[in-house]
Amino acid sequence: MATESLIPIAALTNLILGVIIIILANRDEHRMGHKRFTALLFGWFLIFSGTYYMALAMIEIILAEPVSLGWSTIVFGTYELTGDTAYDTFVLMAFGMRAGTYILLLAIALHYPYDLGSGDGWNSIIMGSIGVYCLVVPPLIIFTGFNPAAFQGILVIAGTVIWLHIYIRSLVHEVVDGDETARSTGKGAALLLVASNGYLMIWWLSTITLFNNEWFSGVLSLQPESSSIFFLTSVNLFWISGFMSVLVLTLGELYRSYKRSISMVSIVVFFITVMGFMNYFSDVVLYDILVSCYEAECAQYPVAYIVWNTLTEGILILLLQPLVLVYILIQYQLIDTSSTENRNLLRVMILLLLLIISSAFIELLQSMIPISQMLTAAFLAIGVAFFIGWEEKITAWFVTTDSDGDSSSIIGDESISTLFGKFTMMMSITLIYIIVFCCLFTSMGVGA
Amino acid sequence: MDFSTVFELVDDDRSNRLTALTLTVTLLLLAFTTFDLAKLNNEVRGLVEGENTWELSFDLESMTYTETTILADGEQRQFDFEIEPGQISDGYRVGEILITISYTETSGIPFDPPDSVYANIIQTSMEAQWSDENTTLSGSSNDASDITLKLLTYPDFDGQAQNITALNEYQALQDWVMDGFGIGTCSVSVELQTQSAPFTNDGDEEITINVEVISFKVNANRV
Repeated sequence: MATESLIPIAALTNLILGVIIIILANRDEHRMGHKRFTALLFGWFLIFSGTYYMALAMIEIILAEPVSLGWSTIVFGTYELTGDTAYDTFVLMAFGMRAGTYILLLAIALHYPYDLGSGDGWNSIIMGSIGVYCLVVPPLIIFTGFNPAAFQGILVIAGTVIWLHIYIRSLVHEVVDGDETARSTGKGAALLLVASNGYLMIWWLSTITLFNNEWFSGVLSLQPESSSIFFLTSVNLFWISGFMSVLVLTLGELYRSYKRSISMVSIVVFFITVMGFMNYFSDVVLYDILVSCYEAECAQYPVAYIVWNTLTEGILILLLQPLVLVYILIQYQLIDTSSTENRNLLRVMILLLLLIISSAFIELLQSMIPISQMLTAAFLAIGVAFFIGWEEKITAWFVTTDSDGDSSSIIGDESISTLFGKFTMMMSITLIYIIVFCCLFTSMGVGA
Repeated sequence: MDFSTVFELVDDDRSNRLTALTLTVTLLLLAFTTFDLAKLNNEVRGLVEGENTWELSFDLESMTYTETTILADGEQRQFDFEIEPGQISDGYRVGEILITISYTETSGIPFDPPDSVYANIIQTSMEAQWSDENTTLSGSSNDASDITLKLLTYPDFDGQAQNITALNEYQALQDWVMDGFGIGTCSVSVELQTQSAPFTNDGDEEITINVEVISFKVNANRV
């Protein structure tokens, strides 16, 4: 039983959403500069993520099977060049794009929900840092044997600490001081933590019980040389970012649910917490496979685990992430949802997102359980009819639920608008630069 | 540049204390998990880069089936020997099957020459190395000497100790712990052609088929 890959769907979703968001952000010339810039950061994050998934999707096409290259290979930099030009090119591209997403996430953390700095100098430094990072770090990772990719855990933990502090502060103000407006920023920080660290958060129990280390020791056994303590620390920076996010958000949402009421964010957080338990138990069951690379021959995961992993981690990382980002964009009115022109594009964006996700989910189910195509086609038709019939209400739900309150909680530097054109140009160039660099690097036979 | 928002964010002692606690826990956990991973890394590298030569030795056991029968001149008969998992000791696997067909000239007639016997191991569904060069599937005799046939069942088995390279005992043993080989039916076909002295009639012969199933248990010791 083979499961369909969600990676091409994620690539398509992220790229389309990224383009629409960048168009919308550049169009709203009369809106708050800070919100527009945050929307631009979201857009470029989705473009880099989409290109990252596109590279992985191309690898799937080359291999003619779902990608065997786990995300940890890119995140922790445990890749070795194969000498296959096309394969290596796309893997290098994935490294480059991943580096771009890290710096963009940190930039988002510095701008949203709170704009931590203001002034032309600050904004120029942020934009310049993103550009320099995208120009320097991908080649550096490639030329230094990929392991330094793990050092980017510092960016992840930095963003995590910022959002966690904002969440804690909002929680204290809301629940202890009774400041009803404080929830808005806390909710934003919590959602961004889920969107950025979700793939790490679902392994929280395996992190604290050291099962992640057991698993990673199998990866270490395949490394040509002993890994440095800096590398090992960086690896754990990722896991700890996920664990601390779950710990703080779960305790916070439990406390808030007890004192106030349960919310959508609480449900998402609790779901991830429960998923951490499930993943831990699967780790325990699969312990022999986790350590098989050095206790025996590297063994493959059973199909049941792959199905579970696709339905949880796959959907969380690949499909929930863009959904959460779009929700934040609209809820906090980072893009203008009032004008008719934007409203139409917004409808397209929401419907597209929902349709892609639901059709992908149905296809995924069909690949895993033996239900006939007629039945899944019928389900899809029901979904399409529902989305079209309820399009107005769905869009309204995205746009209006507390969005005025949420929107007003986001404040920041307004002087930034003059730099938008330059930023868009710079990001376009860095994107092309990374792709061209990777193609050149492998086609010149380096690493062959 | 204005960082007033940063100061605003850290103006509340209660949330600062909670964040400080969070950061402290983060650092402690980071140290704890990294220490564990470093320890695992050392163990793994010790395995990967350490002394990796292992001596494999084999404890052998044998099980014998014997069947004696009288074949008529020109008769060809098939003898089946069932080898079942329950007959093999725990931890042992069938390495090879040695088959000896023996007979003597029993007519008692003076100057009666020995008969001719042809023997074959018939390929069955038993997992074995049927086409291995160390496998002898057929043989014959016309001087009353024993016919020896051999079916190598376990790949590369010769019962001799050997040195190999492997990361650990588990991997060293991997090639020698496969199940299924040598289990099933071992069929031997025997044909008799009697040789008679002039004016005599030697119409049959007693044939003894001896099947020895050699099983092994492997041991690995670091050299």
